[in-house]
Amino acid sequence: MKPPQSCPQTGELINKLLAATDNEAISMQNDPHLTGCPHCRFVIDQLTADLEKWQQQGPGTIAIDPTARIKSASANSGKLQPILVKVAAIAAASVLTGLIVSHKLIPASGPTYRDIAADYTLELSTDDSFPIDYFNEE
Amino acid sequence: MMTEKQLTDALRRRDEAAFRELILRFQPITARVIFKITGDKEETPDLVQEVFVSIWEQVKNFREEASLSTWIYQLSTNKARNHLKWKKLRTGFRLSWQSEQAQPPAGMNHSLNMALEMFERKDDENAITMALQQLPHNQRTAFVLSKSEGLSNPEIAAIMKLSVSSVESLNFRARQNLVKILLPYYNNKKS
Ligand SMILES: [Zn+2]
Repeated sequence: MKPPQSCPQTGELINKLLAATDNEAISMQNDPHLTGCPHCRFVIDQLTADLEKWQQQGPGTIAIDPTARIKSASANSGKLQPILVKVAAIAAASVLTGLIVSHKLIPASGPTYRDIAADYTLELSTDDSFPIDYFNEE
Repeated sequence: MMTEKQLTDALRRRDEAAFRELILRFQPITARVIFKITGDKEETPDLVQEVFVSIWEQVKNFREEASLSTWIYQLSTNKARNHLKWKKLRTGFRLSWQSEQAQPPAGMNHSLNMALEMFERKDDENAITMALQQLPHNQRTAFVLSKSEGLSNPEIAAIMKLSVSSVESLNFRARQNLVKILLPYYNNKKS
């Protein structure tokens, strides 16, 4: 293996090529130092090739279909509306059913006079415990 | 072909044909930028797809202070940055776990050695791609937008939301770091 070769100007030339526009890079090929320094010529040729390859480099053919993603997103948001309508309808129906059931089965507004009267009908014939003194309270 | 303004308006109207045109027109840019910044061929398609879904979702809020292409470059570079942050977090966790078993030698120029190791391992990979992975994210982004996309410093400044002089200095530092990485690589290649 040959010992590593180097030139004090290589770094500066690499920097120059990295900063160069396409036209500047072309004209750099005629740099007087490069014509006389095989090491720098080698490095700059390699870097030029690598830079060109890198500029053209991409991830390759990529098959993406974000339209599917946005469609499924819109479909989901489209589905949301009928769901909300259903939920609202069920809630309204529950309230209505509740009202009807309560109206039909549960006494409308508390105990009626008849209910109270029935509860407190005194069966004087059987009930000996009527607090008679209550009425006689002085 | 629609102008960027017409395309933006059509996207706001949820025009799917316009969305397909947007993809045709901007997918190569998005893919190139994301791939070159992340160096991640496998993840790029998913990241590109996410950028376009973001465009569709956010176009209503897109204020036309910048051009559509500037905005797409912004979304792409941000997507790449977030992906790298996330990846770094995961790798950092793994490395910190591994480092309990194997500490790197003290005083070793870790990142440079890692770069050279990567060059050796993946000889078919491009030297620039490998070297760029060693650069801080903002230097890498500025370099990719300048050298690969051919954008001017004011254009890059608009995308990165920086001053033109900051972009100049980022590119200057990016080149300095690339020289540090590429010089030993090419010197070794010669030997
Ligand atoms: Zn030389």
